[in-house]
Amino acid sequence: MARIFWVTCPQCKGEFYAAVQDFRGKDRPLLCPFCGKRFKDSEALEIREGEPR
Amino acid sequence: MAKDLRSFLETVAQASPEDLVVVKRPVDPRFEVTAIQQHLENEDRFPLLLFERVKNLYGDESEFRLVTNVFASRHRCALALDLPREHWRMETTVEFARRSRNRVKPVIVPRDQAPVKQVVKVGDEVDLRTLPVVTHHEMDGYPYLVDAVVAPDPDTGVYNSSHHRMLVRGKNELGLWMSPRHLWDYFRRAEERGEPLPIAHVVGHHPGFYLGSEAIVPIDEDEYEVIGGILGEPLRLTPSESFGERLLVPADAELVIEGEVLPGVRDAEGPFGEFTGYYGPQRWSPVVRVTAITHRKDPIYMNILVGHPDTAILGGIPKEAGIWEELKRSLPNVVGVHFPISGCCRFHAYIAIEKKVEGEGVTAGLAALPYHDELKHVVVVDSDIDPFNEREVLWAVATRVQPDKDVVIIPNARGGTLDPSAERHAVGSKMIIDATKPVDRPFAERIRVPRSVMERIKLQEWIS
Repeated sequence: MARIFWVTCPQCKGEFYAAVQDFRGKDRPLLCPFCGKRFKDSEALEIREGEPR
Repeated sequence: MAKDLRSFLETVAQASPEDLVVVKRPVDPRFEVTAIQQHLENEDRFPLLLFERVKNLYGDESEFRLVTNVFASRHRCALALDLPREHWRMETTVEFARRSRNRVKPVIVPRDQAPVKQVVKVGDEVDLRTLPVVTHHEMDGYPYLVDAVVAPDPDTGVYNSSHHRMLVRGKNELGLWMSPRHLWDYFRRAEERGEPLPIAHVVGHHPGFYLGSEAIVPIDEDEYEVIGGILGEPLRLTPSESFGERLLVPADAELVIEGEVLPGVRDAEGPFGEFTGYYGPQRWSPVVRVTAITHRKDPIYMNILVGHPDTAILGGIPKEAGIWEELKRSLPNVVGVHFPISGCCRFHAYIAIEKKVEGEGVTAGLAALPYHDELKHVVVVDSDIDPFNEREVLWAVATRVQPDKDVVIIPNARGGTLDPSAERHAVGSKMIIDATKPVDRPFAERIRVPRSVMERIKLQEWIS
């Protein structure tokens, strides 16, 4: 699977994940599946990601 | 009469009426349909469910009924291939293999002979939210279309049919995620020319249509012909409303959603609960503009519950059949192939062989692995083990395998795009477990009650 990062929606605080290669540092709006909020990764309440082993 | 979803529902009702459960209460497609399925699955029950009253995405009662779990039982898949339901094991696999060799060309019928054209909506009449599109799992968030997407190759015109997740984003817009396979390649070539790719989403057809869509064939072979082979009759096609004969659509579907994948346009799509049982991540995915919706009167919406046996078995039978065909060429002593639900009918293959010489176990595994990139673990067993009985397979692993001698690991091979354990996208390792007994040295004998006594003792005469 594509490498993922967890993101927290700044509007509803819902947590979901997205592909690193598609969104991290790409200036592309994420779409919160819980409330429909559009936001960039830099606007997320929290980002969690790790490096491969 | 051509085969369609309705003829299959009649087949099920006649062959095993207890297998068809009708739900009369109004149901919301947002999580309620899948909650009912999950409750049943928790009890190991997988009936074909027909919901008579289902809401649309506005919350109003829709004109559609909804069926789901069509593929969640191999017994029903046997029926879909015109076999008795008790022939659900290798008979179903072998029959699929036989039918997939026999291609049948489709026939084109005029619109007035196409049931799917009984109701036609184009332009401003198009509104996906009038459909009972199911929202499956919590992190999906949005309703998703999950039946088959058909499209013509932009260069050759041959048709592909395959399953893709499609997020309903609004009145006439979908998000479409494609693994790098045939449809992805069609779109890549169309997009390079700056052209949209015409597609149609086909909802509610005979299960043979969807099983045929899962057959793995070369990109230059027409999958409408493959589907015809699986159905055992020509697939009836009719010109689309939006593209005429440039996009032919199945005439006997319940619902067809026509549209075009837009070049140079992407948007966020996902997460989505995938066949692996995990969510696939949100992706930056192509966008589809929907141009027409056509359906039958009194239509039936068909949903496939992704990440559960409904989608596992749908994909598993065609892969079993394909590997069966491949192995028979190099290993004529192969006697059975099964993709178990425990491996999502993708990641594990159990292969039974009539072993004659040492090395055949590993050879069978090596021959099977390249067939599909999602296949990760191959367990090869002797012919006394039923590959459809997972307890027997794991017993063979427990009693016939020494890991340092009988396990082969192959690193850095092409892997599935949705395997959550893979650290590199679409790259992973493979494992062959040779759980066959050695033939070059004595080996312990399997215990058994004398056969003559087993045949003499009739259980019903002893225990009622």
